[in-house]
Amino acid sequence: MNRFVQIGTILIASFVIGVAVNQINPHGIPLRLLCMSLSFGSHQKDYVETSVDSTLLLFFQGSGLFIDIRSEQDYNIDHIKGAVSIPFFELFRHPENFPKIDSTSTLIVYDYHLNSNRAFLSARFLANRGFKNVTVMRGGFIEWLDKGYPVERHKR
Amino acid sequence: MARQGISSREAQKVKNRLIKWTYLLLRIGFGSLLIYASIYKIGSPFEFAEAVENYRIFGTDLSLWTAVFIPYLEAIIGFALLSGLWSETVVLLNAVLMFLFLILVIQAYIRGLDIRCGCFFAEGESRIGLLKIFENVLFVVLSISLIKLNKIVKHS
Amino acid sequence: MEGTVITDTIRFINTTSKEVIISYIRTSCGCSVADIDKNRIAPLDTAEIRVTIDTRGFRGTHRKDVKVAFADRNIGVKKFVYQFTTYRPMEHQPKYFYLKNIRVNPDTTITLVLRIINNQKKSLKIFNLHTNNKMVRVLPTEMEIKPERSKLLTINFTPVEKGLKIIYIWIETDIKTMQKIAVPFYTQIGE
Repeated sequence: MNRFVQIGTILIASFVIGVAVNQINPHGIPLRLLCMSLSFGSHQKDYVETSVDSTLLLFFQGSGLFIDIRSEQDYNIDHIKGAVSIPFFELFRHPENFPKIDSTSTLIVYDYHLNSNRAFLSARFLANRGFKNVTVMRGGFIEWLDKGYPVERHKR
Repeated sequence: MARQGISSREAQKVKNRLIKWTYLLLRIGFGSLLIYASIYKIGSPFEFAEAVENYRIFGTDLSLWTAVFIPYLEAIIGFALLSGLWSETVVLLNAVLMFLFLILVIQAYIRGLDIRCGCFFAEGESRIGLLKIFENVLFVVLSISLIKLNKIVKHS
Repeated sequence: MEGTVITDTIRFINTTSKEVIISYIRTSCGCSVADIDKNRIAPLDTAEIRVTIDTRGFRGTHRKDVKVAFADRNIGVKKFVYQFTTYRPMEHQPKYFYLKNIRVNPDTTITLVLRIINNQKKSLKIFNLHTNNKMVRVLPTEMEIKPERSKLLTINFTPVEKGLKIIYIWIETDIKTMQKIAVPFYTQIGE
């Protein structure tokens, strides 16, 4: 078989098997997420970014649901008071488990790190599912923690 | 005269045997290495995607695609090397992979990125440092040797 | 202080009747190292993991974790999280103010106190203390704090405007890495 055909076969097989196995694997990267990352989309963002300080204002207003996309383990150590744990890959693997709330509710997505592409991807995903007020907290949980803002700790 | 002829033929036989065994050793070595390297990445694709993201060349999106594709490419090349299937093509792909990994590691080192290599996800997995670069250079050199040995073995 | 090397020992005791094998130990970054004395633990034997974290280059709060995976799936992976906050040359307490359930009343002044702590081994100069909203005033507007000492600032708050606001108390210092600091002052003022 021609060299290029062989190379093409190996590359295509790797790709197809990779996507298939990931779809089957409960810890895999679902196709849904891969497709989302492909949508270059419009230049208009479907979500808003806020600083940690501005997010604290939302927290004090009591408006909005904080969504913690870190691992459940990290969430159990501590999290923003009142936040709900929906780990990043869980959001994409089982979107049906997302809390049943009104699509006009304010959602505030946060991750651990300063600049989280995961938080942006999650926000985009939620916006695509019809949520109209999605916010990403830039700075992440680490900045919230560093500023001494209200957290809930795991009860041992 | 006859004695000299025999010894040069014998020397040639030894040389051929050496080439054949070195070739086999390198093929099995690389094959096993690639399969071993792919195992954890296949089991924990999100972690691998994060490791790829840490190289700060790809964003989250491309890192996810890389995590879906590369481990399976490694596994297929690994199995092909072990079985001897499409050897000419596979040794070339192997060398290309080793070269790409070397480039990634060098650029991470130059940019001073303090990250794990993400190559093997094994115990005592090393940081990006000169030793890691040396390791990758060695792999590139050996993979190029494998291409040359493959040519000799196929033509003999 | 930044640059301190944190060390810790995690001790495992095998309380089962079988040998326990540690398959791998992974740290979350290159700044932390975890070494183990042995990865096969006989029944009733112990193994120790020595964790070292170099805090050089870290400012503020950070978390690093050490994951220990066991060959026995029933034990699985154990994660140890180390959280540390490196002292900054200057800190303030509280980290922010939050006043709620306040009514608009231009004739009232609420007085609060902000403590500025100098963690350095030399004097700290603070100047140009100001806010971005006339509802909050700070006194004094400049001061000098002796090494490893603290001083109090008086914050006077007059609720004049309704609503939920963030007001910043700006502090300028002679510390190169902290030349301008903002202390958030959140207020929720009703009618």
